[in-house]
Amino acid sequence: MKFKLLLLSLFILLSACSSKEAPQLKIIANSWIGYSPLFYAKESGWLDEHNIKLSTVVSLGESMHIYQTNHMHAFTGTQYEYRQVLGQERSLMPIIMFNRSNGGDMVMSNHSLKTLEESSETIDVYLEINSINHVVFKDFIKRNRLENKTFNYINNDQLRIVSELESLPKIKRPTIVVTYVPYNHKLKTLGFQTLGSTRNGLDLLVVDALYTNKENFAAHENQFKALKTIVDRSLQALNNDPHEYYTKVKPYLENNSFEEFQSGLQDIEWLNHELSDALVKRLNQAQFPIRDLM
Amino acid sequence: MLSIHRFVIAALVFIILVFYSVFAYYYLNDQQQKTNLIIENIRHDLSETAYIISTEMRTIDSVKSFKSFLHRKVANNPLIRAMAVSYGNHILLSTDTSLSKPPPDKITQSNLQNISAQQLMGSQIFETKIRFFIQDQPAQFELFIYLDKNHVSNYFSENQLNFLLVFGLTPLLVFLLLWLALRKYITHPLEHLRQYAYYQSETPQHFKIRELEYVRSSMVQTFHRLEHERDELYRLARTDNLSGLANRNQLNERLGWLIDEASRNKTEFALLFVDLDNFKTVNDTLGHDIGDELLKNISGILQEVLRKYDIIARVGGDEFVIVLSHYKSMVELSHIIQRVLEHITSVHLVESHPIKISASAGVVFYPKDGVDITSLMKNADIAMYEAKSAGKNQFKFFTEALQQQVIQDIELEQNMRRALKNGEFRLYYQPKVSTRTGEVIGAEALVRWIDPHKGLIPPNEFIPAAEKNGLMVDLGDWILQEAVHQQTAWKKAGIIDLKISVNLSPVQFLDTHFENKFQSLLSSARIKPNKLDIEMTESVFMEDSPQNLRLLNKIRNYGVSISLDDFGKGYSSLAYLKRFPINTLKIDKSFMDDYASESGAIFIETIVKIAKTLDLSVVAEGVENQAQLEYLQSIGCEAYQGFYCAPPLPVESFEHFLQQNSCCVLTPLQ
Repeated sequence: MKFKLLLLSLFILLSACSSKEAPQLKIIANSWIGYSPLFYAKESGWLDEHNIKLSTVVSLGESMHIYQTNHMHAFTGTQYEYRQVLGQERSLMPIIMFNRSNGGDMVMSNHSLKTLEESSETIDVYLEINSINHVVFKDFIKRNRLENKTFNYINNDQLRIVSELESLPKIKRPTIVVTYVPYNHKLKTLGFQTLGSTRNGLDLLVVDALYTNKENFAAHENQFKALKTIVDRSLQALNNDPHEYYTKVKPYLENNSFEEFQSGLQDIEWLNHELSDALVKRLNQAQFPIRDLM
Repeated sequence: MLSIHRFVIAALVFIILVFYSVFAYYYLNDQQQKTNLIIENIRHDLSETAYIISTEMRTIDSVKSFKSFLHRKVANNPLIRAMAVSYGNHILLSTDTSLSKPPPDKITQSNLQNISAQQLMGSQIFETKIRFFIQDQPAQFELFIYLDKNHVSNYFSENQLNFLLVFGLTPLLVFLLLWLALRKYITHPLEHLRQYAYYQSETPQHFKIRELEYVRSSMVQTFHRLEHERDELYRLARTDNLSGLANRNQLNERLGWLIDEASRNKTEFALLFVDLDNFKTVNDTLGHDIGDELLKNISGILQEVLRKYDIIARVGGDEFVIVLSHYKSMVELSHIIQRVLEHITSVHLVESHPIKISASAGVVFYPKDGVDITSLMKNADIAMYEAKSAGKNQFKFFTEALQQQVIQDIELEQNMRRALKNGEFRLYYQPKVSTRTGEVIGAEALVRWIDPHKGLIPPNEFIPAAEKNGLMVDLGDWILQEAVHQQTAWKKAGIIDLKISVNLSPVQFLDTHFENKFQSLLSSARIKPNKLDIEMTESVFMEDSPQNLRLLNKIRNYGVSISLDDFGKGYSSLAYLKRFPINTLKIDKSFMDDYASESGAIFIETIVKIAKTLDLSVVAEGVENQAQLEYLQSIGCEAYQGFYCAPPLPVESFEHFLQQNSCCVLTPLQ
């Protein structure tokens, strides 16, 4: 009898040990309007319900680096960041599509394109060099045949770029900033104008997605599935009440105005539902895998 | 006393307590080290962040450019939930959109020294100063790090769980397994051995532990040997060694069961007490080895003749008890008994000796003749003796009359013992008279019993009983002593110096101390041996044993004369006269009663002639009249005794008779 009681106690103890909460899913994203569904979900407390922790950084490349070095389970980024990490992590795969940039990524300058073409000065180029910014700028050079120009690349995150340009007196020398929504709004106020964007002037596909490897996906599959649902719920909330949505995500987007937020939304195309055939074709051409998308 | 089981549990509990104490110490130490690492991590982030901001910040507004830096810090450090920079009551920069005001001082922790794990969990916000200058005026921001309490809590919980699993549960499982192993391989085998040692009900199977297996196998061997020996002892205790039949123990046991069963079922059974006739002769003449073989033969015969379920037991040297419980009628029972006796009576060839023997049996019935073992055995014994008395080689059923006879015999024996003790026996003397001169030439001492209640009891009523119950030895000794002492007394008193005849029973001849006692008596009484005559019946001579012959010769050599009493009444073999040292023949009274007939006279005259021929004296007994005396005189018989002269007389009367009686001539003292 005593022996049976002992075994029963042991069984209960082991059961208690094995029935602990699912491990925390840690994801990281940068301040991009296309990832605002995640910010909205965090502010709404939906992520906590599934033990999902969202960390935010300013820089595009920073989220990739932190994913690689800080044991994050998933990160957001464009296909550029995906390619970067894939070289080291062969099982990396996009699992949730957020958006396609449709003007959200742009090249801005304090001079017109014509002035730049004619200028013989070295052009300062502010960008996050280890990000899609670099791809966007290369495409910009190619399209506008600026290969013979001399560029002075200044690598910084978008917030520091804006801060630095803000702190400087009116810039005379030709300067280019490769940026994206919402930092374009501040640059406009500093006299920068858009020379080309993913909507006009650039023939570049930029898609944003959430990436993880197979191991992490297997370990957190249910949480990822829940996250997909949460993203859809956030976008539904955006449709239902854009202002309420804006209020919650505003701090993550440098406290832009509602109008700027609305304008930014026009620069992206949400991809949370079925992808169009044309887009699928382009994604295939870009060797961007979509088979694991939820 | 502590059992091994409890000792093992106590030892394991003690070891577990020691282990857990060590683990607890290690756990607490580990918690503190982890706390120190976390604090060091926080302190490092606070210090580094404050230094970078203070050195790189150009204007107060430019602090916002460190937002990405703070975000990066927070994202890189899972311990940190948020970071914020405040100036006065305003949050200038924060990684958490929900932070609108700096936390109050009382909930922030600025001293990062000696913080325990509990304090760490209680403190959620750590603070340091960012010192900088506005122009030449010092100013400062507050830098806050908000600890990710869930992460830290999970970290410690995970640590606790790991500890519980690794150091808590694992040892417990190990000890449990150890305990189970000890139970299975040590305590259970020992318990089995204990139970085996006590009850031997179940032989334990092989043990895995070698030493225990040695003990087990030794115990099994020992118990098997003891069991075998016990069975053998049990068998020996219940079996007769010689015959292999049941012995008295087994007989009592089985008879007890049978009585219980018969009592319940209201049935009867028969018990036979069988005694071999003259078995002693076989032992004496052929030796005990042959006697034993004969007993084995007869045991085998009994087993063959009787059925398996009949009880056959050997209860004495040549005594057997047979219990027959399945018979349909008395006729069938009689046939069975008859068959048994017939088979015993057949000639047995033992080691080339053909032996003819018979048996007598007494038969009793339960419950008619007894309701317990003792009474059944006793009554069967009585019936068996009756069969012996009736001529042997037959069986007798126990009867009420037999029982009464036995009761009388027992009563007689008790009275005789009392009489001997109380001096109720007396010696009477009957004179032996010369036919020629009428002189008293001797006297025969004859015992009489004067019972205080019954008066004079004749010897034929108690002498046979005394011979049967063994009292004859004591009585015979008394008679001999009394006669010798009387003779000595008469002589001493100057009254008379007669030869006294004393009757000696055959039973006295079987007494191994008789010779010494007789010699001692002759010496102490200072009697002339030629003044003593021993009278014996033919039965002594019939036991033609070397021992009897030797004893008779010894008596004769002392100078004591020997008379053969009642000659002519029994076998009267002439061989006795040749072999044994006899001095006198005594003619039995029955011949004298018939002296007047021709045939009667022939016998008397023949005896007288034999005596004369063999130079023996002759005395006629039972002479009651003058004619008889004259006849004796005419045939040359020398002496007589009988009522014609005098009956057996008490001492005083005898003395008076010697002085007064005219038919006797006193022989003057020499």
